[in-house]
Amino acid sequence: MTTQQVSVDHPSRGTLRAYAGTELAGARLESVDHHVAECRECIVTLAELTDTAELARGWARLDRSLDEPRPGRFERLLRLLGLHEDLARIAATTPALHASWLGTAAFIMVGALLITRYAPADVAGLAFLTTFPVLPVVGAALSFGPSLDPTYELTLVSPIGRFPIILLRTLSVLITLIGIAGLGSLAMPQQGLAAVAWMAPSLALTLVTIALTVKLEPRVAGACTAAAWAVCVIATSNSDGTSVLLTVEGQLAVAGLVVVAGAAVVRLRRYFDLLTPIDFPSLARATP
Amino acid sequence: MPSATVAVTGLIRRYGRHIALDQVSLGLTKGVTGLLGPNGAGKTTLLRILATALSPDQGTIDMLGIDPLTAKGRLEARRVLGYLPQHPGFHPGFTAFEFIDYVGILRRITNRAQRHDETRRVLDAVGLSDVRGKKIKTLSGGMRQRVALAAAIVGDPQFLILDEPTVGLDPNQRLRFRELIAELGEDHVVLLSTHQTEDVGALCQHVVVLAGGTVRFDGTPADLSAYAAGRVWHSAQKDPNAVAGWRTGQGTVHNIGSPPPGATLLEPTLEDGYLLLLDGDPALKEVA
Repeated sequence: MTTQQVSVDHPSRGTLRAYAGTELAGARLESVDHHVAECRECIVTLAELTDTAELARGWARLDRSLDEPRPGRFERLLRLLGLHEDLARIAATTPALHASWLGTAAFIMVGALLITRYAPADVAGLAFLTTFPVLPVVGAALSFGPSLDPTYELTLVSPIGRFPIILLRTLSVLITLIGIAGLGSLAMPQQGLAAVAWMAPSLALTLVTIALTVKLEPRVAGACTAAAWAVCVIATSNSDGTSVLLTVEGQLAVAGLVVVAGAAVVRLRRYFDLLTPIDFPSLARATP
Repeated sequence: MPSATVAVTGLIRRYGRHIALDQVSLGLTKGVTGLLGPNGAGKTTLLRILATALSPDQGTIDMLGIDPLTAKGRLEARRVLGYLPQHPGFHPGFTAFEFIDYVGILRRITNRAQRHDETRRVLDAVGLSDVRGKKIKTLSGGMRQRVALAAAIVGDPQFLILDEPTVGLDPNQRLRFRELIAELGEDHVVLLSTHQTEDVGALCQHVVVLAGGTVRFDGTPADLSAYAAGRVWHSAQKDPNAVAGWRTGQGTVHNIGSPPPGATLLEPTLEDGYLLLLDGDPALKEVA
């Protein structure tokens, strides 16, 4: 047995551990080197000490860090704003938040702003008031639906439920758009109420759209809300470009609508949790 | 102690005047149950109801001791069931890992490390560890179907609902998929719909035939084959009295129906039983 030849001075386990950890140097390193080269027993000990478990853990850690999903810009922003990382992911998968859609929204806003700036006064304020609040409605309509969310059915039957997801997604679209529109309204020629008159209707119309999705396909719900809003703006406007919606009373009425629609959404929340028959035609259409 | 069974009684579901499910009752235990039926038989409606995506107009469900038809039970049920929809969709930008991780979020696995471990486990279970970092849109149809199966088993739900899981797979992929499902059947309640009798023959211990919204057969695959006992024969030319007949690879004609006296009877297959069972079905004539 080779072990017998060198059995006199086996290095201690501590020394071997240090050797394995490449902590030895100089003469000690050399002597252990010599010994290990000859001693089978110490090689076995050494193999034990070169912690394979630790090595495996190291690989696993590396593997994990490679697997780690990398959040996109929007998701990082949401996390920065303090949203829980899981919710940020759900919000970030909102179909309506895709760059193409946001680009279109920004384009429409710029258009509306240009109208406000350069069009005759009698259409300017109204163009702004009609367009801006409709954008989050479109966003809400595109946030969750059988034909837009590829994982619709899966999301529907997940324990997290459809209601929080609808809220989360529409609100993140709304907040994003309010951000963009807020910057836009700084460029408005008129200041005061006219510059912020779009804000309450945005919220109100979004809530109305959400409430309607209990019975209507989200896109239909969005279209109905947008159409109703256009009619409402036209009906309440005068030919000189003033509108009751641009007054304090009008804004209070809209604020009332926010409360009513919000209450309706909360009351209806359990109905969001099931596939409604209305979803069916679109689900059928989605099948190849 | 929750029971490891799923029992459905008197399920009725209408879409307008059309009755999709009419008094459907069935019981499921551990193992793989095949739900067989022609297109339009009500299979997907039944699976959607069991997956809590849809509610029935009438009937009761006992899912592992949970009543998914109540608001509270529905959330509990969603934790114990895994669902592979008929047309699973994916967010276009996701890798396999990111998608499963997202499903983990929807299933409320809030601890990130735990969720990532679970993601790796299910991807490994379906044999997709190697491509976990690839975008789903670059994967083959068979691989995507496996991603969808992986999504269904996140969190190890005890009741698996698979809607036509083998559709669109080539023979090789189908074989691999059957293996996976058979494995899951060892300790899960698995219900899969298909219109392929080979799937049922290959992996189901229990088969339910649904046609025109009602249960036509409920038993073992052997019993379904036995339904055609004494009614399958072969002949040199197609027998005009046969319900159905087709020339096989051997050159003779395989007939099912009422054999003429002295015919050479054949051992019935599952397909023979299924075809005879559905023969003369008014609901099928409607579909055809």
